[in-house]
Amino acid sequence: MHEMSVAVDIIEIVEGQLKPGQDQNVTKVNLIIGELSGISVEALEFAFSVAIQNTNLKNSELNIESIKPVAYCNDCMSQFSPTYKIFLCPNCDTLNVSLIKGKEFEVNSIEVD
Amino acid sequence: MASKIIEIKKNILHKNEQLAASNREFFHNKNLTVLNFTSSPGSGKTTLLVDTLQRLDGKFKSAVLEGDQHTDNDAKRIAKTGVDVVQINTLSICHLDASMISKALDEIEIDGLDFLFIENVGNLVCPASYDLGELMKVVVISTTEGEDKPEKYPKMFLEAKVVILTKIDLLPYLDFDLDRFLDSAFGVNPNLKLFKVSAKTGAGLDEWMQWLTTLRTS
Repeated sequence: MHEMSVAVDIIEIVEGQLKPGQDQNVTKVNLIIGELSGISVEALEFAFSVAIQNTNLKNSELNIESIKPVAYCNDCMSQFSPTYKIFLCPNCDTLNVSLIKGKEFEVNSIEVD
Repeated sequence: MASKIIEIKKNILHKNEQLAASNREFFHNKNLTVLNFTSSPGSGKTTLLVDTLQRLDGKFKSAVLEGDQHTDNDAKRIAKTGVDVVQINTLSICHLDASMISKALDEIEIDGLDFLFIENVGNLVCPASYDLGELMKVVVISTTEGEDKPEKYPKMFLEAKVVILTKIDLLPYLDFDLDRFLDSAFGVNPNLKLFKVSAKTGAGLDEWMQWLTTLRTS
């Protein structure tokens, strides 16, 4: 349950982008989160709603784009959606596989009034 | 008023990652080998560390950072081995982060150390996301846990370089399916280095110590 720490980090990143001294109202925070990033989206939404009180983000909502894992086999050059055996290619059964999507964890953009 | 979109494109954990990079540089400059031990509560991390420290004693100099939400019980166990130990109490926080490590480093004499062992908060989820600047994560799992834990908590087993299965002396009495565990662990991360140990009987500890000390000698 590190979602509260993460919520505080998100607020810090967003506040760092606001112009000092101006009363900017953040309405939306757009995140990109891979399913292998180790975060619970529900817990993050709850932690965020608590952590934004008394900040410039108090009227904002989270908009989370969730990214499913995608792997690439360097042997047969196929792309696939991995099971928990992320590095096992289902087509050629080798382990020469790279994870190309699924670990994203970023603040993509914000919307302000 | 029309709303305006501001692009940010920043890793949420960038602050921790910057601090971790600065820790890593510090460790490199001090020629210090740093391992970050993670596991569920009760896997036997502290017992394994105590055994490891005793075997290193006289040949290599070590220190320990102990992470727990509360108490200094584990730090007291470590202190009995005679090595420097700092207890980090995270209180409500479920993991160690890079800033906690850099603060704790002020409390130990780094010069002349070979190894720094960090014992993370017992938790297979959150510590996986926090780089502390270590050389590698070592995930510890005991035979009294479910053999499918690697696939239940894949991020930790993905981030780790080493897995240590503890309490193997109990295998004859448990339903723990070793083959199923190996399939689960190597399924998630085929590059894991595996050790099977028992602190009770000493089984497997020689192999672990041999590998560990080659981190300093090779």
